[in-house]
Amino acid sequence: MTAARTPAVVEPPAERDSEPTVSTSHALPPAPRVGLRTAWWTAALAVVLLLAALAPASVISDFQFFQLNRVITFAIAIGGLNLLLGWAGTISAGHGALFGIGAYTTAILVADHGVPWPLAVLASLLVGLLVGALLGLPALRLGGMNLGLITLAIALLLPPLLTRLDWLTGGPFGKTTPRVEAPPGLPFSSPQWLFLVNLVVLAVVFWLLSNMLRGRMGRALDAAASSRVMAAAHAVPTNRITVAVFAISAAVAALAGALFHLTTRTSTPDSFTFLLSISLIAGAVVGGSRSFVGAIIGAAFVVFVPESLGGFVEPAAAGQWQQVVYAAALLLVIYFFPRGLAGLVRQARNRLVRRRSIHARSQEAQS
Amino acid sequence: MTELWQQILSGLGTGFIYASLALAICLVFQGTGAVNFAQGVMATASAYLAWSLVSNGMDFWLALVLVLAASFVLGALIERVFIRPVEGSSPLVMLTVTVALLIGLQAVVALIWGDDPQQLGSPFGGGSVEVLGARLTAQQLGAAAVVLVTLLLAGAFFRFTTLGLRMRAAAQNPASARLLSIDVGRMLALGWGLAATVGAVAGVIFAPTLGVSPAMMDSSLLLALAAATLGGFESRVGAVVGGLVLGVAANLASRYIPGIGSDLQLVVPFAVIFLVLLLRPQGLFGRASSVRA
Repeated sequence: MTAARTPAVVEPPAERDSEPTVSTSHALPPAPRVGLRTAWWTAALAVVLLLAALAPASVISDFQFFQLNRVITFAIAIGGLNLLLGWAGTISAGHGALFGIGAYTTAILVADHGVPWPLAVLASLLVGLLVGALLGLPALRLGGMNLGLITLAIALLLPPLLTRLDWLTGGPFGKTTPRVEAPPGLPFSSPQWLFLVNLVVLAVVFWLLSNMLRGRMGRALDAAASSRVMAAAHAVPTNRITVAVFAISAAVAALAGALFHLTTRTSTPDSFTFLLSISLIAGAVVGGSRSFVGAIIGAAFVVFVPESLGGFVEPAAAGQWQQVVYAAALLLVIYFFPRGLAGLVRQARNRLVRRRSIHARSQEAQS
Repeated sequence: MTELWQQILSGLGTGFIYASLALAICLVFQGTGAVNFAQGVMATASAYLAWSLVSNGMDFWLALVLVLAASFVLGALIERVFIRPVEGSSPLVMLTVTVALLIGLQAVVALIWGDDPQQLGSPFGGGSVEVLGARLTAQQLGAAAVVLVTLLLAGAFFRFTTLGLRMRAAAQNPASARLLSIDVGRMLALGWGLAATVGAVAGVIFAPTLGVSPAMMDSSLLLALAAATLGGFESRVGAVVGGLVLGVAANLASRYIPGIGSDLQLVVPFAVIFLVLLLRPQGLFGRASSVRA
């Protein structure tokens, strides 16, 4: 994970890490940034949600917590996918499969080997890292769409494979694990407890990732994404960071899958089809693939939009309408808001700040 | 021995599906630089159109001609409406757009025609022919022949016509082509239309064996992508050869490698993509290119 050694690519740190200077109103729009501010947002969100977790069941029901848990686990996976879409400039059409591999790893370890769930989740992370490194190897040679091909293959291959390897995976019926209970003495129901666990994991993962992207790794990735050749000429080890970032992204997806399994308790081959991979891409693009707040927005989109459709269309066609909505949302965002909804929010805020600063200056001039 | 021969021949037969889809994918890739994940589902839509016409009493061959024309228009239209706004963007953006097209079009097909698989009768009848000791159905032979003719026609079009030459020029060097007063945008739309037509031939002519369903082309798409990877995305001949090789390989693997049944045939394209990218990323027929910053 060593990034550039020569300072050439690491040169412009000043304007990227400092706050945008408000006074120069006609400065370029600030480059999309992660880092401190994202961390603050995440922390603030975490506090709010922690308070929510303590709310009595009459305010937030266990089912709503279950839904929130789905949002958080998807958000973690989308955050991992963002590494590829937003920074490495490649696509994974198979993150749903990696998510599924994580879920199944935890399911098998807990159900068949009696491993405590925290250890199983950790094991999922490691398995994801390993699988990601293996899949990323062919992408070493060429970036971009080749990774798309490999990942598309694994997305389509995983469900039949899970059905076939029934001695390991339980075949079409999958694996079911017992409910995860809160430690004795804590006043949480199972979904509430998982909500807290998931939140902590989300905060830690996003904090680690944004730290990583703020440093050399992020700059090296940006350089490699804009021109591989140029980056290589500046001693960025483009091949190594491509594989590393794919492995990390896969590990995050597998971790999210493991937590997802703890929430749903049952994993079957149908849970991890190609459509799940597409959903994750849709979430990443719609939320904004260079933003971790965007990952949360995107996850909420992925979880709640199909459900709200249920009221409008007949149930038999709900799956199809879900696909139509995903497709439309993907196209609209790509054509009109390339930075996603998070980018839209940021743009609106910047405009507000700028207007205010112009206002302040004109008052200064008058006085 | 006879059985091996039989397996090879029927593998070649299905290989023609992958060959024509792979050719379609190459046409689009050379023109727009996008790997079109929606190529398979576009062929599915064509197959459904043909099924609608035939089940309303139209003659198969007349229906085929009409559907090919419709597919051409549809393909060109898709390029104009959906691809044009992101023309020249990064491959990532293009890929995302074609993924959106894939899920959107597949859902629309399912909403119009339903999820249940439909049957399309074979235009070649139910007979079978003996070829050098192996038995092939008339459908297998006829479909392969039709696709072969299509591929040859497509090749001749690019080789011998001015329009084909213009399209190649627009694909190879858009800037210079523009200076030679070639309407590059129109060439790209034509390329998409042509690709949709080639895919439609495969979709319609193989519909009797594949069955008409929204997912009928899913595994073919993967095999076609593997074929294009194997042959090299830059090479039309490579794509066709790659398709045939993969057809045979998938068939032999599911028959002779223990543990790979028809459900796990997809392992073959996966392994092929993996190995090609690892060993010869430009494909068998592609040329390694050097890039200048």
